[in-house]
Amino acid sequence: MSGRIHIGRRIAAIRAAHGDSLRQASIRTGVSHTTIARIEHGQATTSLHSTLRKIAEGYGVTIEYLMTGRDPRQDFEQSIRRLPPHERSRLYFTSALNRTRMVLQFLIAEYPQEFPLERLAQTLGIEVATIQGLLDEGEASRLPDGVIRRMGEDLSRLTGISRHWFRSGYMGADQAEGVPAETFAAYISLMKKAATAGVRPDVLEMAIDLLIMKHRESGGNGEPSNAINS
Amino acid sequence: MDEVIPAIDRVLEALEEGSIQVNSPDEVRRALLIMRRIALEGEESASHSLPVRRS
Repeated sequence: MSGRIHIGRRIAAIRAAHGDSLRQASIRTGVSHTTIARIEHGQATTSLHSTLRKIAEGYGVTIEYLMTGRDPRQDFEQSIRRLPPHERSRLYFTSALNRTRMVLQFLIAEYPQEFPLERLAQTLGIEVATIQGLLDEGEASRLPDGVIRRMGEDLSRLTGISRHWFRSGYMGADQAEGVPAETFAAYISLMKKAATAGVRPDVLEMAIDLLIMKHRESGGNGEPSNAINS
Repeated sequence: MDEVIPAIDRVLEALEEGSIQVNSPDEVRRALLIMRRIALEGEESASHSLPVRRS
């Protein structure tokens, strides 16, 4: 019961942080305002999982965060941001496989209970032995690019870590989906070149975030079919 | 790449006007200027490689 109270408090805090009324939260999440109110007061009696998923998606957090107060995305991004700038810059140039491996290593080390190997394997649609092999460089190098890409997308859905991280090492704006793929690729290319020129990654990512924000404000000019979420 | 330089200019302008605010405006401005220069150099080198039209 106390767990449900903590979940309820987290949801109330997130809702307050967004300035949402119960009805606004309902519109945002697709969960009725009475259900949200009951959960916030620790009074929900039915299975919470599908409801929590909707609330988590509506507010852009993970279910793990709602349930445990720990957020793998936030923790992972902080661990990357703590790296010295030159090491973080290097991550733009490493392979998608290495970035995927980093996330798996992080989850296994920091979230062994929330993300046991079996759950990771199930989510990724691969065998536990394959994950263990992936953690070993020699085995992982045999995996086709398409498999690595799909794993990144699955891990992104599971943890909330930006899928751009897996593709390019960029951890910034979640709202990049409105930007045409070609433009976004050009931004990422410029970001990498500027990183090589010695500009700090945190500043570069802020600059990319602003470009994306401006693009969205101006309404953009790309066709949805050409956007990077396609 | 055509859209990138005007996009950078729009952000630089917004920073100048103060219509968007960031933690380290000078560093972000510098980063944008470096990105702009890189984008411009890319365009110039691309235009240099265009085939010469023969009459």
